[in-house]
Amino acid sequence: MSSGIYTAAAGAVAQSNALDVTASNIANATTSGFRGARVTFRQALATAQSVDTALVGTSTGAVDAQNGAITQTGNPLDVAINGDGFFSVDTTRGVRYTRDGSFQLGTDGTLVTADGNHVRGQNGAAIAIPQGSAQVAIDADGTVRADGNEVGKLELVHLDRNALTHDADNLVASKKAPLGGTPPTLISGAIEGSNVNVVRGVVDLVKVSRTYESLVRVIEGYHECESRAAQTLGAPK
Amino acid sequence: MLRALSTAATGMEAQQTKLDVTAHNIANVSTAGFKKSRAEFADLMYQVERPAGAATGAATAAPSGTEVGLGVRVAGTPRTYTEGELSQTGNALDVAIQGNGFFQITMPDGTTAYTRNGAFQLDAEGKIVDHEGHALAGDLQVPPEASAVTVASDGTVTATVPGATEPVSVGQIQVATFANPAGLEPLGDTLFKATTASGSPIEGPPGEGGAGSLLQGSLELSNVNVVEEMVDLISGQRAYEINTRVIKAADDMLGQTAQMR
Repeated sequence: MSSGIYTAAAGAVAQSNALDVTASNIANATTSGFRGARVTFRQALATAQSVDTALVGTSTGAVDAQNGAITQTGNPLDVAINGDGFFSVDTTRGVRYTRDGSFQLGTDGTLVTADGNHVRGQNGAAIAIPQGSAQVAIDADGTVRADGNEVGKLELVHLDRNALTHDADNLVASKKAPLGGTPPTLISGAIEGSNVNVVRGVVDLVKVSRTYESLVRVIEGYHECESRAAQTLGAPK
Repeated sequence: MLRALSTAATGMEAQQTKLDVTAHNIANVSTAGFKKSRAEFADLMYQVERPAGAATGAATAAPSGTEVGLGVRVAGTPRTYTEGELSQTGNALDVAIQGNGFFQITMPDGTTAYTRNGAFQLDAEGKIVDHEGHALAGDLQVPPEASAVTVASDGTVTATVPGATEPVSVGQIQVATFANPAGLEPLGDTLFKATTASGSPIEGPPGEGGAGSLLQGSLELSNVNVVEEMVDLISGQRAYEINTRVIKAADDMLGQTAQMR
């Protein structure tokens, strides 16, 4: 039995993984602050058997770090990060980071994300807006003001791109502690859109489905060879 | 591959919601005091096939893992409280708030509702009411013989009565402000209800404590921008279409697998 058929099958599985990732990117083409994933393929088991046996694996390379387009909303609690950086959010799973700055006021009077997770202030404190405040504003440096008085400052961090993993609900997790450096500045009354490039998504789709088709042909080719061999050599005289 | 099918389906569902929200905005493009909404999305969970940092050798670790996202969901449809255009109507009981704040309307069940729609009228008893007949809070009763009603920028309402030299005081319109207007619950009829997310209302005279002042003879129109909505409509429609392309690609691939000889 030729081992090439397994190589082709591994390639087909890798392509179907790539399709799943592309589908996830396209489904999130309008999700605020979403960062698309890129698929990279790697050679697996290159030396495990013989030189001609190279299986293919996939990995969803680092989260695509390009920024999305910024849309003005005029909502005082909407903020977009200008350039690199992330907001910090407290979740039940631990500290997470997000680029989605469409914040709201929670039932307990603190600043929360659309899912009700607390937005972290300096040193992880929640940002409480005093009851009865008429106007809330967020400055470019992340200072939150209620009726002009400072009530907290958003924790803005820089993260190592290669340490990021996706964590649902517009959040990313970081395997490393935030990096130092000057905190990013904000644009108030605006939110950042998804960084998914739909054109590239459609091109990926075509590429994936054609590659998959070719790999299916390769499997069929091996199958044909083997059935021919069985007929020619294996047929009883 | 089947994951891609359901992922694309979540994308289509989300875009449908976006279309619904856009349709509602466009339908209310000329509703006085209407505030537009937008659909907000969040990504669904990820299936981790190989975690980042997994050992790839004695001393090496994978710098990035294999995480396959499973789609998108609607995270919310927050409203945008930017001011709508002001339209001069000349009608004495059309009042607009210039800046923050809401008119307070007493509902039939005694609760208070909030609105930016300042198109008021008088009912049979001379009370200032909204277009549905709900009274404007503050018990504002205009004398039946009054020939003119004046609303000052601080909310003071006076009536000119034939025979009287001084205008008769009717009362004062108070406005309510909220720390987080996006948290208000819509009741329809351009009315809103306070919730724990909006914070409690802060009542006060117009023009004080962050509240806007009043402008008589003007109406605040809807804050829907038709051009923006058209762009949303097109982008939503195209995003929907591209999600169907994903389904087609997944289906083609499944078909090739099924027909493999």
